[in-house]
Amino acid sequence: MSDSEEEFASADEGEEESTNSQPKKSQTGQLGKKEEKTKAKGPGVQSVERKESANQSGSRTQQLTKSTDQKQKAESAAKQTANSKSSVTEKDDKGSVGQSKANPGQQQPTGKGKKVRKGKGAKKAAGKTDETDRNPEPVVVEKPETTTEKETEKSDTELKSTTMDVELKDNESGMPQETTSQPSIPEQPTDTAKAEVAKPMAELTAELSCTEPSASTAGGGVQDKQTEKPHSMSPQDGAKSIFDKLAGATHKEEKNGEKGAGSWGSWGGWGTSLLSTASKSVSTFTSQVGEGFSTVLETVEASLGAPSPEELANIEKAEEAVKEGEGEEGNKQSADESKQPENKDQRAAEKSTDDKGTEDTAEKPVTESSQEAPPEQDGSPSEAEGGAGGLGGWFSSFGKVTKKLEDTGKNIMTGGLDVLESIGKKTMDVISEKDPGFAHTKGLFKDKGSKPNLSQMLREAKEEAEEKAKMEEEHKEAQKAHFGTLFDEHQGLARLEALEMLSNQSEAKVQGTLGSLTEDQLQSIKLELVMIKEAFQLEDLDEPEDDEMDHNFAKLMTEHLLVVHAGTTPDKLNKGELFMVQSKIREYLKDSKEEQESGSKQNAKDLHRSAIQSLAELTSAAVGQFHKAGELLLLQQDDGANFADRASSLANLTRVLCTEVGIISNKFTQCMNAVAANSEDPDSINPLITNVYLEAGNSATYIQDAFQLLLPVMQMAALQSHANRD
Amino acid sequence: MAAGPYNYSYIFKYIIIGDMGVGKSCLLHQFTEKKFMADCPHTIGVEFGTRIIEVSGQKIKLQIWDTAGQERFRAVTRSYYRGAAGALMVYDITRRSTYNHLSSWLTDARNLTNPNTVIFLIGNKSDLEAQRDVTYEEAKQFADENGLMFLECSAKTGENVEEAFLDTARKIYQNIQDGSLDLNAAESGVQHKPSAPRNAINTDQPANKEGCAC
Repeated sequence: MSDSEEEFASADEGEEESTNSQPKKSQTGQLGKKEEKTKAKGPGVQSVERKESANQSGSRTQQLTKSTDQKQKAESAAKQTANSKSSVTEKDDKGSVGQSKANPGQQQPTGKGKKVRKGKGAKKAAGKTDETDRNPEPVVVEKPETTTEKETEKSDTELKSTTMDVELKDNESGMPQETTSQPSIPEQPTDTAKAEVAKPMAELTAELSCTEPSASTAGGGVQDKQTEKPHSMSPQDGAKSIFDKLAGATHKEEKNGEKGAGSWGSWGGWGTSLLSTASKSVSTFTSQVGEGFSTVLETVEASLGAPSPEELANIEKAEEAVKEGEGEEGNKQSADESKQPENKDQRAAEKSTDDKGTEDTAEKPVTESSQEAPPEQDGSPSEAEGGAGGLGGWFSSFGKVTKKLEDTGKNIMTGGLDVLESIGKKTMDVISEKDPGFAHTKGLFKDKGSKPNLSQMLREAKEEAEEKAKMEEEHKEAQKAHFGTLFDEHQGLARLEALEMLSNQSEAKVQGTLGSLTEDQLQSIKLELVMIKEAFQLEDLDEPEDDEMDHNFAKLMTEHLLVVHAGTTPDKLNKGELFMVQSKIREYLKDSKEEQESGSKQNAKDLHRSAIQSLAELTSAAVGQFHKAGELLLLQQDDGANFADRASSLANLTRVLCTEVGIISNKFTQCMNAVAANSEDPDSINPLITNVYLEAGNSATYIQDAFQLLLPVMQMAALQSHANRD
Repeated sequence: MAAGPYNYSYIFKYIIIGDMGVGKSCLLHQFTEKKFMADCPHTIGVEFGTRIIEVSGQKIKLQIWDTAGQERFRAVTRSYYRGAAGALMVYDITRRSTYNHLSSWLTDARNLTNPNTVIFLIGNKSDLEAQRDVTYEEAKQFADENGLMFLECSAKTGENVEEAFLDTARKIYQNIQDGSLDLNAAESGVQHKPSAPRNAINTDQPANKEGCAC
């Protein structure tokens, strides 16, 4: 049995390796084996171990080399065998069933023992793969024998038994392979694999009663559909790989001998099923690329994270030390700890088969991907050597596998991107065909990034314009209530300028006249000139002359003007602008006060503007009045009037005007105060009130300045009058 | 009148001179108000008018001094010539005496203004063609001989009134551009407001705010 078991194990290995992944798995399987060995001896001695493993398991290395050779041969042989397989399979299966039955009988009772032995053998063979090289012993490469036996067993055994065997074998042979990939076996995939495996298992076992192939096929089917697809970029590769596997299997089996014939039938069926699944997988490849890739990633990730190699190594070492017989459990633990207890039961055996299948499925993605990505490397000795290593070798190989996975993943990604790109281009073409203006539109869209946004520019321009308009409005608003502006608007400045010119001219004339006068003439006129000058002194103008808040402006003005102009004042002046303006302002103030008393609300701003406007207008009129008075003074000659009286009258006139300005400003501020009292925001009105007072003072200053400008004019008039008298 | 003092770049001072009753005040009124003032009272000393025009894209405020034509005001009005950039010398085409006095007015204008002052000869009341006493040709010849610009206008109809004022302004502006008119000269009659509206606002508004803060 031990031999047979070993044989089984080795056969399983050989078979499975050759079958499952002849071209691809052969690598991984080989690697796995080598790795296992190396692991058993220690991670540090990888290279040596590999060599040792090669030496120890010379058969293995042979097998490995064979497997590589097998692949090549298999390719050729597969074609030949492929045809014969299908026909042979049934017969062989039947024939093998009998043989296998015998084995199962042995196997079943000795389940544990087998397991143990197998475990050993498996460990040796599979233990390589298991990483947990519980078998320090060199792995005997009796695979050919075992394979035949196993196959026969498998074929003979019923589903359960076969599955058991398969499990065992798988554990021995398959497990190793799997174990290499075990770390990368995610639980989910296994579940799904189980489910999928179950069906093909049932079918295949029922028909062929060849559990191994069924399991493998099942696993293969699963792989093909799920995992293969993502990896097998080109369906042909997948098909080839399958062929290779088949060929390798047939090749091995042919070498194995008689019993190999029994397994041939199963191989043939498996091959056909593989082919069909491969074709199907190819057809569904495109649609499932993404899905498959994701699953692959998941599996890889899960596998990476699931069992830390160190833990596994420790566990396995411990287990090795304690029990060799329980090695299987250890294997299974390494594979799936949860499934360990079940392994002892027959039912558990089924699950183990499932596990195999799932493991296979899980493996294949990895192995296949690695194989497919660089197919040439499959048989490369370097990998074989690397794979021969122990734990360290496993790690390295695992790294390679992952790297290959990455490569394949990249390939898939790039491929997917290419597809997307082509789709996008096609879409654009279709769009541009249907919409001739699309190119233009597209250009517009493109330009948006680089060029400033038109809408933004417009918005900015609008904001700028609004701001400008606002400023201008504010400016206008300010001008409406700006005393200087309003004063100029009413020709106040021009009048003042004209008066100034008149005054300057008079001043010059006065100086000239005085210089030309004789001493006597000077004495006679000096008194008058001094009196005029004194009359122009307005010391107490700042203080309100009369407390009476009102005075008869028109009457006072008329009286004073009469004196100034000696009763010869033209009618135009008496009913002139100044009177009109004054009466208008008084009228407005009266109306506004009445409005306020009647309760109607007034705008403080409007009142302020009216106040400033009134003051400016009144001031301009007053300046104009003074200007005209000066002109008239110069025109009147020899009327005998007292220029000192005229001067005092002018001073009184100025006082009246200043008082009027004060009264008007007071009345305006009273109105504004009343508004402020009722306002929610008196603070905003107070500045306006103070501004009215300020401009009132400004107005009074203008009036007094104008009055002072009349002094030389008055003096000139006096001189002229004096000269005329003389 | 004008909206504000700072909405322009230049101030041109005009002075309108001529015999009494030739229609100086009516021309001013026509120009500023675009209306004909039928019974215009005698001007005392000087009256003022303003209007903002645009020349070569530049806004110019015309500050027009309308002098009294009466002989008794002559002494007073002579004080106002100074600083005039433009002098509108007006005569009545229906009254030869007004034309004959032009040499006197021209002498005053020449003497009392700066050499670059633009003197524009206006033959007013061109609407009264039937009563014409002065032909266009002889007035034109007089203008050419004295280097004056010349137009026959009607303050009543407004004919050529605008042109007379605007041509004067264009000539003054041209003199400024030529550099023949020195703006810095005290009596150029032109005030330049290089810091036109904006700065004016800026200087004005703070003052207001200060006032408000008090």
